[in-house]
Amino acid sequence: MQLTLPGATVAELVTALTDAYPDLAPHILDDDGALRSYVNVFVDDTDIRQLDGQATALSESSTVRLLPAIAGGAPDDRETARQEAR
Amino acid sequence: MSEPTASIIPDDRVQPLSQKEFDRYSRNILLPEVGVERQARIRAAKVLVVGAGGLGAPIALYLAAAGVGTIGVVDHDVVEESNLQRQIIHGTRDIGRPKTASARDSIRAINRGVKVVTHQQALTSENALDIIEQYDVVVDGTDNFPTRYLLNDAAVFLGKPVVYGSIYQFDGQVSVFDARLGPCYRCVNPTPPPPDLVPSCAEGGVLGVLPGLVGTLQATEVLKLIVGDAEPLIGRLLLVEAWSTHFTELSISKNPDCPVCGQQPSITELIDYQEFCGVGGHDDQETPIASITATDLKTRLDAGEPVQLVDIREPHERALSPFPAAHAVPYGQLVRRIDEFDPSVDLIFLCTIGQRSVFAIRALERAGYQGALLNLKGGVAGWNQEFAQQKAG
Repeated sequence: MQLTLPGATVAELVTALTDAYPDLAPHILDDDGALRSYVNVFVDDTDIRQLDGQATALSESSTVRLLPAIAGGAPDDRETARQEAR
Repeated sequence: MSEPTASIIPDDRVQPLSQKEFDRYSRNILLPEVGVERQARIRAAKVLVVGAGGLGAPIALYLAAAGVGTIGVVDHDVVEESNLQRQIIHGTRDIGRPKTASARDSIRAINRGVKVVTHQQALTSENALDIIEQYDVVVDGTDNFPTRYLLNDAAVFLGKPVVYGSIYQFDGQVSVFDARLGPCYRCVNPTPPPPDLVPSCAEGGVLGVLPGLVGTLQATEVLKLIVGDAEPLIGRLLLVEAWSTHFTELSISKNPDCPVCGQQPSITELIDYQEFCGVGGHDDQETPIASITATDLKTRLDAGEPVQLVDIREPHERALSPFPAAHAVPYGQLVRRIDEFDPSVDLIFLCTIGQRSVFAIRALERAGYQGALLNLKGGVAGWNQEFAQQKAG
C-alpha cells in the first residue's frame, strides 16, 4: 500500500501515519512511541540506519518504506501449528 | 553496486571435468564468465539447502541441474498434500514420505552426478555447526525466525556465506549475507518480531509460484558465489513484489554494534533460539494470553456450558475449513462489533492455527473489553487434527 503523507523527518512521517491509521500503531510503535526494532525503514531505498535514523530528513519527493521482517520459506501448516502450541 | 567476489571454492579442490561433463554442461561452459575451469568449480562445490520446502525445491533442483557436486538437504518433515501447490521437488506420490528422501529422488532423477546428503532432522544449536561446517555455502529456505537466526549465527562463526530468501503472500526478499564482506542477517534484523505478531504462510497464504521466483534468485546467487567474479547481492536486499511486479533493491549495511558480527560481539556461541525469538521481542508488561485446548473446548461444548465461540477467519478461510458451531466475526470487524459480545460469558476466538486469535485478544483488551478472552490453541487446524471426523470434505 502506498500513501502520501506530510513530514519533514521519518519520525514526523510515522506520526502522521499512525494518526491517520491508529490501528497500525501497536504494530510498528512500542509503548514509548518509538519504532519497534523489527520494523525496518528505508528512505529512497536506503536503510535509515545508514542515514540519521528516525531523524533522517525527508524532501517532498522522498519515498519511505516500512519493511516488516518475514520468515516464510518452507511453510508447513502442521509444523507452524505445533510451534504455536508450545 | 557490489564488488565482484572471489570464488568460494578453494583451488585445490577443483578437478578436471570428464568429456561427458563437457557435453552435459556445455551451455554453462559457453559463457565466458563460466568456462571449463569454473564449471569444474561448480562440481567441486558443496551447498547446504536448509528446508526442502517452497524455496528449497527450486534451489535444489536448479543447483543439481547446474552441476553442483554435493547438495546437502536439511528438513525434518514429511510431505503433505498442501505442500504440493509450491514445493515442486515433491510429487503426489511422495505424500507421507520424509521430505529429504523425496528431494533426494528428485535431485537424482535430474542429475545422477550429484552427491545428495540428507539431514532428516531439524537444525538445532547442537548440530548446526557440525552440519554447516561441511559445506561451502548455506542457502536459507527455512520458514521460521528461530532457524534463521541460528543459521545466521552459525554461518558467521564458521565464516560461510548465507544466501537468504524469504516469502510471504505475494512478497519475497533475497540477499547474500556474508559477515566478512557485508552485513549479516542480524545487522538488518537485530530482533525478531514477537511470535504473536508473525503471520505464517500457513495462515496468511502464499502464491504458489512465488517461492519459485525467489528460490531461483537464490540459486543464481549461489552459482555466482561459486563461480566468482560476479556481483552478488551483498549489502543489498532485493524485494520481490509479485502482485504489482516490482523488483526493488534496498541498500543495507553492516551494523558495527551487531551482537554477532560487530566490532565487539556479545554473542560468541550458539544460543537458545526458541527462547530468543519467543521472549526477545515480548513486552513483559502484557498479561499472558489464556488458551483453551481443543479437547477442553469439546468437553465444554458437549456439556452444554455457555461459551461465546467466535470464528475470526475471513470468509474464504471459513469456506476451506468450516466451523459451523462458531459465530463468524472477521478479525478486522472485532473492535467495531465489540458490543455484540457478552462479558459475562467466556469469549473464545478461533482462527486457522491459533495465532491471529492472540492478536484478536490483545485488540479487544486494548478496546477495553472486560470479559474473559480465550484462544483456541492450535486453531481450527488443531481441532481438526484432534477430531478428524469433524474435518470438512
